[in-house]
Amino acid sequence: MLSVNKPKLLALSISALLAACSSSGTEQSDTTYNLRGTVPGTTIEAFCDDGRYFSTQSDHSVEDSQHPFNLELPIGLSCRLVMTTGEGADAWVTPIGFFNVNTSSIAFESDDDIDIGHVALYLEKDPGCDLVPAAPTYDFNCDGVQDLPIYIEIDDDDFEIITYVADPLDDDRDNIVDAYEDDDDDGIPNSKDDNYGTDDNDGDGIENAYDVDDDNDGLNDDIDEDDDNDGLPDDEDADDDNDGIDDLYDEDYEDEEDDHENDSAPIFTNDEPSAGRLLVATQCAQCHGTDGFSLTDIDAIAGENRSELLEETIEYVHEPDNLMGFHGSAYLSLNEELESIADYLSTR
Amino acid sequence: MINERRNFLKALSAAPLLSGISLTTQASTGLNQKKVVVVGGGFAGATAARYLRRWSDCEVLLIEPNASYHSCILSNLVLTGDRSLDAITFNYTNLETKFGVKVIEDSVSRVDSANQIIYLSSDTEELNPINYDKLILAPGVAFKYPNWSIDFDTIPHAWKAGPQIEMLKQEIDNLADDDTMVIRVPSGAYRCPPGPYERTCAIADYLDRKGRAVSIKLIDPNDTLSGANVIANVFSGQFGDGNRYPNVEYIAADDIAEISMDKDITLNNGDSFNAQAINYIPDQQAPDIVRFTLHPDSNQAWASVNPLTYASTSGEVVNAANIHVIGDSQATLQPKAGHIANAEAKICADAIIRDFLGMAPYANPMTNSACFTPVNHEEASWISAVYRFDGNQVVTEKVGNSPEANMENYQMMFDWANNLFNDSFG
Ligand SMILES: Cc1cc2nc3c(=O)[nH]c(=O)nc-3n(C[C@H](O)[C@H](O)[C@H](O)COP(=O)(O)OP(=O)(O)OC[C@H]3O[C@@H](n4cnc5c(N)ncnc54)[C@H](O)[C@@H]3O)c2cc1C
Repeated sequence: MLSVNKPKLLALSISALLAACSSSGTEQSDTTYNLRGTVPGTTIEAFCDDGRYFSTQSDHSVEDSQHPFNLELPIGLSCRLVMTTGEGADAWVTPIGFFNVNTSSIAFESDDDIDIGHVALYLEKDPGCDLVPAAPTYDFNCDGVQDLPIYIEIDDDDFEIITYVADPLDDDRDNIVDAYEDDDDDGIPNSKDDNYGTDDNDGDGIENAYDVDDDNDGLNDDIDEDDDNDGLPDDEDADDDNDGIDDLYDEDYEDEEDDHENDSAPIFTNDEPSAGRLLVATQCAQCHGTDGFSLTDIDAIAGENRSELLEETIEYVHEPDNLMGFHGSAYLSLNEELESIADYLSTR
Repeated sequence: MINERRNFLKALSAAPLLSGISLTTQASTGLNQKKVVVVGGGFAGATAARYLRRWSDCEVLLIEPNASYHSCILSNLVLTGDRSLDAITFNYTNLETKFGVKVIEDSVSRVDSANQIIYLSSDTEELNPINYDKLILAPGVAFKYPNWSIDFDTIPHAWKAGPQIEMLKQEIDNLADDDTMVIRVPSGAYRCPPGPYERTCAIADYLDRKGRAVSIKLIDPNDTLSGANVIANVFSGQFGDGNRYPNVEYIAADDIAEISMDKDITLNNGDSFNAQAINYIPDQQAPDIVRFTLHPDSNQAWASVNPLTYASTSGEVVNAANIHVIGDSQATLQPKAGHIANAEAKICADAIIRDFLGMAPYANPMTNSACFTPVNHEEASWISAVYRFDGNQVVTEKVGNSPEANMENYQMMFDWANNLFNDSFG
């Protein structure tokens, strides 16, 4: 499949994404709601679960720091907001979170228009910035503006604050969306940082050395480039999982790559107890997700071709420094178990 | 060539796809008359409840006193302010709404094993017996108090996450230059074997980052780091002169004999010193609900189980029929850890469903343990092990550790934790 839609992609240059979204021509028949408020900031962006991105500028014709904005978002889609104040090198980035009596999170969805009121910048010197070496706790670049989310209380039945067990757009659980991670701590998010990641093929903000997926094709680098082992590289393959259905029409549109990454496992299964079902659950699921449906950058292995699974596991034996290499070699004398695992996974 | 092969494979894969359509409907194994009660909603209990319902339609009652669960996994990052406690706190809404588990916010006070009944703590007069077909005990660990008096409200153990972690964080944040901090490793089997060493690294790194010159004494009755084992492989080169954390003194094969009200610490060897912050991680054993129910007349710390099913094997002493024990409370040689507790839970759930269906348990179950342990705020190592059943007992197939701590492991730690959290609570 040519186009990928992993949430990780959000870390791509924001402008490139914006261009891709507006020019893709996919019909978007969502019903939308208006999210309004006032900010000192200039730009309001929303990062959403299906990989879509929305943004708007606030209206500066009003003569104080309370510039109104209006962002149109799809009803029923979970998104996270980021406010940027100023431009270029002087820009301050502030994620916006929400809370009510029960919960708090950066993720939300709404069924109706919502006014979030005024979002002020949190301006307070972080005491940790005075220490040598500096040890800031909320203003990591010591520019006088908190980098962590500002939380706004919203108590409205139409507005749902969503807590994830694992937020697909915040891999490292720090309440800053992956697109706005600032891995070199220079105050410029990876996605907008020209200096960062000179050794970064896919411009996703993760240096190749630390990027498990250098080309952002959704496949971990240590695995081959051909997900279904059909001889066609995935980038030229219209049916990545060889289920006979063109990727364009296959299952969930969110999973354009058709490899089950960021897909969830079905809740109920109807199978008889089997060795494969149990071994996948005890040996694979903790890292690769329930039934191999990974929700993170670790490879999804649900639905992978049986012989490919067997081959890859054994190939890993040559990489004992890799955690999977360690595990692969544990199965060297356990052929029957390994085959049960491959049988079960390949039929997910 | 390529086309032919693709068509062939397409035909092959059509069958599983069609049968896949029914996957979204409720499983119909006809077990809705069977009732499993799960005691404790940690990694073990939550996973058991989730998978019993994924794999069957039996009734599952999960009894857990807390509305939300604070994960110990990643909790050392809360001590250093790198993550919030909220980020590792889960509730039981998914288990209830997605999986149809019935969750009762209470604890179990007593098991009447002869009659297959439990009572809840709120039911002080035992008027509302709850019956079960199978009972899974997954209450984690309890602390053994030393023979001198200690109050965990002033000296935190922080070995269960939540308020205790916040209290220890406060103590660490209050430390000033030239202060001393003491961390004690438990003796005997305890939860998360690498945990105390990992915590020591996290705290030492945090104090370094803050520019605080604090000396840390790590007191280890077991002398683990001097041995040949995976924990020593990862941690023995971290502490003392010339190492990453020269301000950490490793005091091995000794133990704390007493701590006074003023935080004066005396060791068994007679040394004594004053500390400004103390993390006393006590010795551990299975909670009373396990020991009183299954091993009432012995001092046995952990529940003996059959690793094919995790059914209690104390049947000769008490009537232990249909009682299973998983996670930290059970006595096999597997480490007491969340990742492997999740695996034990699935073996137990599968065995229970097979039993309901009149099938024998799966004969060759396996488990594995994986632990990503940060050595500072950007690098981590991993320690891992694979276990299998040899027809008699659980044996170790393989144990290993990463050759170095690096940034790639640190990032992968979150990917691993997120999938594990989802597979247990999601
Ligand atoms: C600092 C630290 C780091 C760790 N890191 C890792 C790691 O990297 N990897 C890893 O695999 N493991 C790790 N662990 C270990 C892991 O947290 C535990 O092994 C795991 O939580 C055990 O799960 P459990 O379900 O058996 O017990 P618990 O998680 O303790 O759950 C037990 C539950 O039972 C409930 N309960 C108790 N008594 C009753 C009763 N009478 N009635 C009803 N409910 C009851 C409790 O409220 C609790 O919620 C770490 C632990 C610590 C302390």
